[in-house]
Amino acid sequence: MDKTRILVVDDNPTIRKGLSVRLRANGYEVLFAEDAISATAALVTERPDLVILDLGLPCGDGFVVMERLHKSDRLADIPVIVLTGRELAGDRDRALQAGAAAFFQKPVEDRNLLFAIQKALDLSRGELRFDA
Amino acid sequence: MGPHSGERIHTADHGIERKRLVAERDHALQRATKKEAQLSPDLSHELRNALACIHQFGSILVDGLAGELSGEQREYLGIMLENASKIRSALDRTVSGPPGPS
Repeated sequence: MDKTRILVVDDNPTIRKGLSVRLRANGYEVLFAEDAISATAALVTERPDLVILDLGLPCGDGFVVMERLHKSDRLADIPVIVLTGRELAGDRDRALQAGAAAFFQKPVEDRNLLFAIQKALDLSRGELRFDA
Repeated sequence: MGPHSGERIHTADHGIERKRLVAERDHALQRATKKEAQLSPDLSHELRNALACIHQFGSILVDGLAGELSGEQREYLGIMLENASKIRSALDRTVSGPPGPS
């Protein structure tokens, strides 16, 4: 059975590596992008099952990536979990209104992130009918 | 023999002036305290990213994902993660100040 593929979008290589170790240990295949442009390209070429998205990115920000997702019928149902070190007022509300499945501020407890990932995947696959 | 009326006026003025100075000092103290509780968004971002790395890799080690640990190693990592958690709580209690000039 193909592994679930998660695209990790973060400009910090250490953060990408740490997430990669944790996600792979939990059976996920991990793809990477380090800025808004390469993230948008990866979405189109790889069509991941889920995106973990930082907001503070070079060449745009996480909201640019989310906007790109929602403009495409093919990509619009890919769940996005925002994981950001930014503390700008309104980011959380804006991300959730833009369709993020969850919003976390770094650092995040691994079990919370993994739970949110599983819940978002189940919801996107129609395995959950309402918010549990 | 009571004070001259001139002295009484001086005392009243002095009292009002003293109250004004105390109020100004309290106001300045409040502003300074509020500033201490704020971090610039850039600094907060930097701290959160660095803290995320400490937490991530500490957890990876504690969970044995990079190999088995001795009891002592696990204990020391636990101390590290606990203190990272305290820094996180302190960060969560601060308020990001306005962005600096671009």
